[in-house]
Amino acid sequence: MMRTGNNAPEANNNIGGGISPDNGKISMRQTMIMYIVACLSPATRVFPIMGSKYGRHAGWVAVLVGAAALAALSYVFASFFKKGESGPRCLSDVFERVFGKLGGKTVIAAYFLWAALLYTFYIRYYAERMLATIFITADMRFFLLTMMALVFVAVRGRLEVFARFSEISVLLFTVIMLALAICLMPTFEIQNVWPVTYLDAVPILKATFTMLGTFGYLTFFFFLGEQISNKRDAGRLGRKGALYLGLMLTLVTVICIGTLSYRVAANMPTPFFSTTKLITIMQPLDRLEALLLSEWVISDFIIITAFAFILMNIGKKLFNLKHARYLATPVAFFGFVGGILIASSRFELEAFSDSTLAVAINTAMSFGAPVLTLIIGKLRRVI
Amino acid sequence: MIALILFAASMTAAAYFDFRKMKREGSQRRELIVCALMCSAELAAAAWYFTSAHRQSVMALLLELFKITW
Repeated sequence: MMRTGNNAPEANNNIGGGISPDNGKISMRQTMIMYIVACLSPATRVFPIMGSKYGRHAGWVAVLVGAAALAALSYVFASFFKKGESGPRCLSDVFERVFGKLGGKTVIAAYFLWAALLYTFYIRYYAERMLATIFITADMRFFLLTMMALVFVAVRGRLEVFARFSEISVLLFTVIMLALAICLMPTFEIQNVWPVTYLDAVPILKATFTMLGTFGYLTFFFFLGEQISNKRDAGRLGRKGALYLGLMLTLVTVICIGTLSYRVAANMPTPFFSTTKLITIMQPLDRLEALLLSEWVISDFIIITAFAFILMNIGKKLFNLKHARYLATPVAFFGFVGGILIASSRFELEAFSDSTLAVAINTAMSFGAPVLTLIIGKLRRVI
Repeated sequence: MIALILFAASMTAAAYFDFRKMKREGSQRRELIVCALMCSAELAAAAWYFTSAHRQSVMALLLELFKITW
């Protein structure tokens, strides 16, 4: 267990939740990094497909539009938390202030259910991806069990340690992505992604709509608000995070569409993985997709653990518990049970991902609800 | 069945140590009940999964629901 300064004994009593004001907190910057790494796994899988399917050759521009929307969303959170310590401490508090006790609890319960669904969804997707890419004949439950054992250890630990792990991972991710992008330059064809004209505006907006739900996962991270120290910086750091995420994910999408063309990329289950399979450096050096897979596993671990922490914190508010860590065991075990019960095959997961209603609910929960809450809060003068 | 027994045993052990710690920290009865209910529901779901022959997934139910409502 890591110690933080002179207050280590107190910090150790506050594992995972119920944190005192002076220690056991993560910074807003660490939260953004955690969010960025968590987003990378679903975005690398979904954005090239959705970009190609709806935005066609201009699908990569949709990522930039989505990133701009994310930057705007971060200012909504900056408005929620501008009062500092005297204002709401987390998103659950914001909902209770704006919608009242009963209305707030209802909204929090809706977020709890949706976060639980996303949590099990990503656990299952992680296992299915392992099966689809390299371990084709393995038992899926093995991957679920190993991942959930890791998540169990992580959620019983401290959020700061997990946040530091995310900081290291983001560096690793950046280096690997840039290296893969450079290696893919010889296969990239500019006519697959250019020209982009005003006629592409509607396809771009359609593609952006399917991506907004993933960009909007930032909303869920503000349920950890009691453990985040400088939330007033959400706007500034959100803008920086959106810029980084926008550039990295545009790189991923543009490489996929530029290398495979949008017709091929739209019909592949994992286009970026297939693209990296094309890399061959002077004949002997190939199969670099293993690098991408290892990075994907790290990102999957981060998104699953982050959702576990989020569920614990929403549950703490919903059930009026003293500490979030009381829910560590049920949430970690729920991941295993939920992972096997959520879908009977990979096709169900993909059908759910493509479902218009699921995309609409995701966008409404992550983008629509915070904006609506801000408007109502301003009208009622509680924010 | 072995998987179910292993799952139930590890979960019960983890929950037992958690409850002991919670009691030591002076948690309310309500908090203990919330956690116990959650653990029991998960155990029941796991038992149903490992023993039932005809399972319907959550995703299939949701997709069916979406078809009706959308």
